[in-house]
Amino acid sequence: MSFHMPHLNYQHNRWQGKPAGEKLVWSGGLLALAMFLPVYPGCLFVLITAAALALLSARIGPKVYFCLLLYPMSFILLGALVTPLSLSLDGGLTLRFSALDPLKVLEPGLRSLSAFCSMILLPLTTPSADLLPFLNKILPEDLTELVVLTHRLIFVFCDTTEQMRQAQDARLGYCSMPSAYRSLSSLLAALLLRTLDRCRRLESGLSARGLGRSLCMLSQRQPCSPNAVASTVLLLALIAGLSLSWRGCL
Amino acid sequence: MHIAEGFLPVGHAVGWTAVSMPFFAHGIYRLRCVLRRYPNSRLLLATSAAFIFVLSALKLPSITGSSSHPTGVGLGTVLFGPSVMAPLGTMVLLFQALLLAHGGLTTLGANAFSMAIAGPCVASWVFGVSRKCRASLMVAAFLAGTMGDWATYLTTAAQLALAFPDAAGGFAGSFVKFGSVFAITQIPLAIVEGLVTALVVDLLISYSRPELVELSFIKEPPDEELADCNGSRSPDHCAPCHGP
Repeated sequence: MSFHMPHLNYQHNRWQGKPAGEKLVWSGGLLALAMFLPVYPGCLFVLITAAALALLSARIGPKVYFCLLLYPMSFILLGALVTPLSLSLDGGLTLRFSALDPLKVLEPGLRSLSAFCSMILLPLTTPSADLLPFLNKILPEDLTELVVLTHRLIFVFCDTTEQMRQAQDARLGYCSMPSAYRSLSSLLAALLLRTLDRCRRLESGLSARGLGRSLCMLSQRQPCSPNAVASTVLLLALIAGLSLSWRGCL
Repeated sequence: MHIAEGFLPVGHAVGWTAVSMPFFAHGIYRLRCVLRRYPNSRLLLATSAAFIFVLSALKLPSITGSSSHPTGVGLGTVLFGPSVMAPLGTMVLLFQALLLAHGGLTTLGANAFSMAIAGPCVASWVFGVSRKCRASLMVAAFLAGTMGDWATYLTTAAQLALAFPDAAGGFAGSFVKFGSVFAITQIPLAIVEGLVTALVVDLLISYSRPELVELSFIKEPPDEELADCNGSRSPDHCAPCHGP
């Protein structure tokens, strides 16, 4: 068993000082283009733009970036393997390759990859504290509070899980399948009890300090520059126009 | 396995979001009621959501040699009920998309329907029926965890089959194809998740009784009965409710 939590390096990228609203426009705009433009060449342009922004402009580490791509790639590969197979139920169960255009088979995968690269641009460059003002506008306060609390606890849980897993691994807890399941069950049970205890102590401590219902977070709120937003929208429109004209749609 | 970002056509993504929305809204209403009535349950709710997140981030060894992720909906449903699981599960899916690259924002509606609505509904129904059939809490939790997991993956297979119907077999052919691919890892994985859910429920009843009583998961027994529960008697003697 392995446990891996990717470290989104928003603290060490060149978009660190950029206002969250501008990054939201980039990420949301590219995501919308990935969903609505024709796959060839629209999604290719979006993919190249999103990757270039992350790797060259924001200077995200290539290792972090490509590690994040592994999971969606596995889903896309699975889809690409299953889609060309055709299952007929008439006259018994028969499985054969359908005569689909290979480029057609790759379409959902390419769209998915470009959409993913667009979406991941935001969490890779923006700390959650900067996104909270936007979250507050669309969700009730109680729920935002719960989201913030869960976000904090996730990292506490992850650290605890990693330490417990390493301790189990050192005692050969994952050397065989039965011992792996035993170790995992005990890890989860112990993890929940330990974190419940930690939460209880945290709640008591915060109540004793007179904490109200909401946790206040400091964030450097910067207003969006109209020029930067306009130039982003212009570039997105350029990508859309180029893709559509390439396809002869204009 | 959640549907990856952008994998569903726009119409399907919007459609599944629209289908999930009433459940999500009702869940938020229920969640606010729970938080208003039991303000201290805020941490337990957040702990449960974070626990589901970590559970789904863990890779479990499978008999095929590959590894896969459990869903974690069984435990949340057994503790909080299916209506609260809709916003809680959606929140977990959002964090999975943003922190682990599992799922996505455009497919959030579809993934929420399978993992935060269909899975918990089935898990809750199975848990209720099992308890009515006088199954012990451990057995009911095991069945809820297992069936909730299977329901989640069958719904995902149906969503993919609707989006990408088979050229010859149509929806049914595509559903069999996607279902078969998922079955290789999900059948053993769901059983493991059921076992883990049962174990965790048992441990919670033994060690975290105050939170469970506060959430109405179990009724507060009279003092002498509580003493018995903490002593020689099995925790199954304490009657469980069906969430807050």
